[in-house]
Amino acid sequence: MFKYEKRLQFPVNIKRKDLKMAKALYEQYGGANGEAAAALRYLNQRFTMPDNKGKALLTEIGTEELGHIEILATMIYQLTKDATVEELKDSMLITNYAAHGKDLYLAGANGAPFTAAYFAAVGDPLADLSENMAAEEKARAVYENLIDLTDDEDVIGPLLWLRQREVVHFTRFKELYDYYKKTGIK
Amino acid sequence: MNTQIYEFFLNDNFNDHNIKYEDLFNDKENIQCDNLFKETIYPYKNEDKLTSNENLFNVSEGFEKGNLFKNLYSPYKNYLPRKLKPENEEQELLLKIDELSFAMFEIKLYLNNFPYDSNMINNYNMLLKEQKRLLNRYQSKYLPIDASNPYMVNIPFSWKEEPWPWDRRIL
Repeated sequence: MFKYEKRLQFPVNIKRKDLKMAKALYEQYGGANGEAAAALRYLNQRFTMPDNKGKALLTEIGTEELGHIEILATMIYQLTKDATVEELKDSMLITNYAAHGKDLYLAGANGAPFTAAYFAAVGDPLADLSENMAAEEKARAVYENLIDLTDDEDVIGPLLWLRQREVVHFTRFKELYDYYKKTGIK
Repeated sequence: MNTQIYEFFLNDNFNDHNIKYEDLFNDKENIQCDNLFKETIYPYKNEDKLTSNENLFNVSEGFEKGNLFKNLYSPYKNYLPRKLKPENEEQELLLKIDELSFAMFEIKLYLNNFPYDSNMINNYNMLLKEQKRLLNRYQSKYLPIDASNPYMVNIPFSWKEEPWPWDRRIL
């Protein structure tokens, strides 16, 4: 069961329209290492974790990632909200507009639709947790790429914050991985 | 439920000029939640390290940075975290709820891996109490954040009212 709170985990208030940046941010929305992939990866793996530590950690981090999908969606929405059709026509979002109007669409920056193929579940907690650690590092790297692409402080702020969350999640996954490795729990 | 906490939830004695939880972690008075602590299901077993509050950012700074733990904080290049500046009482209250909720979440993640850290369990309960109080305060004055609050009595029903989080242009 999930309960909705009418607030973002971290506030977003982007005042400047930027269609290029919106296109780039799609990578963390519906891309291979994006927030949707993270949320579904963890929430799917948690059922068969070998002990309660694993079930708890994957549930918590998966739930937080759902909140991050909302932050990314808010950023894309605010960056594109006031764009005219003329502006969209001359931008990289022309194909998005053709297919989806101004709706958000769960896809990566290159337009590839989101797919469950972005994450694995191989029935081995050490393998699953290693994948999660790699996913967090890749997401951190993508956030750094995105920060490099803009000078808008309203965009950089939430990106820095989301990047920092990847650092914390990586550490927690690694602690659990080391614990399973040490104790032999499988 | 512990009677003391129950009364605390009901007692709406909030003072707008007195939101001082920045020092919670360093405030010896506040950390002595003895009753709470005795009721926790984890007796301290010396299995996990105890995290000293000196190793934590305060609640506001931790939220701004996206990381409550000083030893885990990893800045990118020379970028500084965004400064969040509330412009009115509503925004200030909401920011504090965001901050407290974030600190609680960070501690919960940590405690999943280190469930015997009694100091962190204590911190969690302290923050929870304060978060409940501010959530009640916010939702009694403004619009609902969480539909299970005791102030859902308005006609028309207020859950659908603006702002939705993606249209809330603050901070």
